[in-house]
Amino acid sequence: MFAALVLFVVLYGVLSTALVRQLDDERFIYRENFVWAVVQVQRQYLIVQRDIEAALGRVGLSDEVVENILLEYEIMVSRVLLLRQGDGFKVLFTVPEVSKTIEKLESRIEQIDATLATITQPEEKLSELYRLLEPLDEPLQQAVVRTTNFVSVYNANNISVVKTDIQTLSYLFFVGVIVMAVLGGFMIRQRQKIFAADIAAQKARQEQEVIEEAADYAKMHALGTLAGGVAHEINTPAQYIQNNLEFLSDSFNDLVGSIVRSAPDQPAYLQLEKDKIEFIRQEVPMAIDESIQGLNRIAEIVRGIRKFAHPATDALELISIAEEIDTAVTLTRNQVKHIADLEVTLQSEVTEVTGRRNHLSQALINLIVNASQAIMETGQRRGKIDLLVNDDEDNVYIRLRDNGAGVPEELRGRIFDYFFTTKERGVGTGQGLPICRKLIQDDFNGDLTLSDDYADGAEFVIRLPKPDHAAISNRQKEFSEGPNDLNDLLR
Amino acid sequence: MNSAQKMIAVLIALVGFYASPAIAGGTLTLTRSDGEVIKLSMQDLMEMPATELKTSSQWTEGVQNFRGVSFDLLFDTYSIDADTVRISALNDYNVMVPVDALRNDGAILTYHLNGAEMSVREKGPFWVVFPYDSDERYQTDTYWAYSVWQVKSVDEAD
Repeated sequence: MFAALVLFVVLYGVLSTALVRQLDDERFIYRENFVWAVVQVQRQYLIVQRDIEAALGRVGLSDEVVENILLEYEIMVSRVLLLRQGDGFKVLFTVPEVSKTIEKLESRIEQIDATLATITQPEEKLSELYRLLEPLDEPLQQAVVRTTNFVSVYNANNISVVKTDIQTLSYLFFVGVIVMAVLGGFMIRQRQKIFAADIAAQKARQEQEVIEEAADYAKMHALGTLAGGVAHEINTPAQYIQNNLEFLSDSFNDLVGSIVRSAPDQPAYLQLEKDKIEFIRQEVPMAIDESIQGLNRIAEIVRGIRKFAHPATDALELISIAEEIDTAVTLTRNQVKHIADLEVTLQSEVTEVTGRRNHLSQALINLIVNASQAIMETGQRRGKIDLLVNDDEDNVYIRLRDNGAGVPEELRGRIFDYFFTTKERGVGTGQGLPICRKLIQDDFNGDLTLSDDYADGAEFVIRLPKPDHAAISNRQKEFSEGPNDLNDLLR
Repeated sequence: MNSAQKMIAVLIALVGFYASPAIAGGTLTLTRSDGEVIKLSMQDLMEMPATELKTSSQWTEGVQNFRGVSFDLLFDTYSIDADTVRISALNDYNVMVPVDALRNDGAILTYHLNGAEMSVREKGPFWVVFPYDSDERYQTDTYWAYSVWQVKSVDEAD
């Protein structure tokens, strides 16, 4: 398009310059002066004839009259010489009548000059001049007519050529205007596209920000939802730890109270029934073990919450699938345990994927809570949730199956839409699944889908691309290729 | 003077007459706006300080030597103070010329071309010439139109 414009400008410049040069050309000068020049010769010729006739008709002939007539004759000669010598009149001599007439005039002038030089008598001089000039009357008239015709055609031809050139320029101008209009339209469209792209990018950024905020909100919402269950999960071991500690305290008091010492320098001994001693010996270690287990359980739950609540970083890193599943299972245990049995099966050799920490567990928590709610809605006594991890050549799949009511056919296309929910007001925000899918897509380059062909309830599949080990090993290699001594130290 | 010498003298006179046909217009007429007419002969003009111009023109081939009286001097001398003058030729062709152009652009009223008087056939006796080579401005239709030849009179136009 730009090339077309340049071509047009160059073409226009060349043609217009050529036209201007053509107009400056000698050939294109408007030739009204040809007619003027020939008419001037005829005029002088007629003046000379008229003056001679007048002079000869008068009685007596003064020198002044003769001199004046000869001056008029000289002026006529100068007009003829001007025609012959002027470069601008050369074209005129292509007209045969004009050329012949001028030639006749010239030869006649030579003849007149020679004749007058030999005559001294004024009257005779004038008579001879008149006689010699007379035959030129008709040829001069023809020359004037032919010159007029010639100039008329000559100018018309030139005008026609110029007109054609101007028409060409006009067409070129219109073509140029069209080209420029198209180019202008094209540029405006390009600008619009760029503008639209900017708007789209800005919208995408805003959407991303909204999604990130929504994801944080969803995480906190999940934490809130899970808080009761988690508290219960913590409370149960705390309860029996407390019981055990009370038992240990009582046992300790019993033991301390049973210490008997007869004299300060005598060894002390326990005054306790044998059954009691046996009971303490068996129960105290059990209570201690149970308490330690309880504390470990609490620590595990707290660790899960802490991990989950930890702000997500922007960095992509290798995420342990098992750890993410553990976190999700731990935090949802209380939610699930009264409704269904949750069974986790790991069948993949790949244990890590590349993504952002917590986002996988967030998606899993959402899916597990959804599954338990789905099972609960069916009213069955005990449901089943299977979390199966397997893989193929390129991807790791986390399949979460429940034996709830499944997703009705008419809702399948909408469950990933924002703000779509089938849950009661206050239970669901309609952002869980779409956000989970967005997190899996954006942070893991994977996808979250609902299986079409699972008949026993619902199966959600999280597809996670396997990490590019080659790329990672390359990065590690690059990292390790530091100074030699550093490499030596690292070895 | 013997007869042979007489014959030679007659021959020279005849040849001279043939070579330079009658020059009856060797007089310049100046007419002021108040009606005063001043007639200047070739001799009168030649007695005034002369100005020479070496320039080419579109009517001559190559650079020519034009000698004459500058219009500046001519107008000052004869108190021509109009803004415009009408310059007329022997065939009554005439042009209105701004006096400023004649004064400021260095025009001369030429009476000698290459050291010789100009016959009527050679655009004489007087010819308005500008220094055409000195400025492209003088090589235009306007200045060519001002360059009247066979000049017979210069009249104040107002």
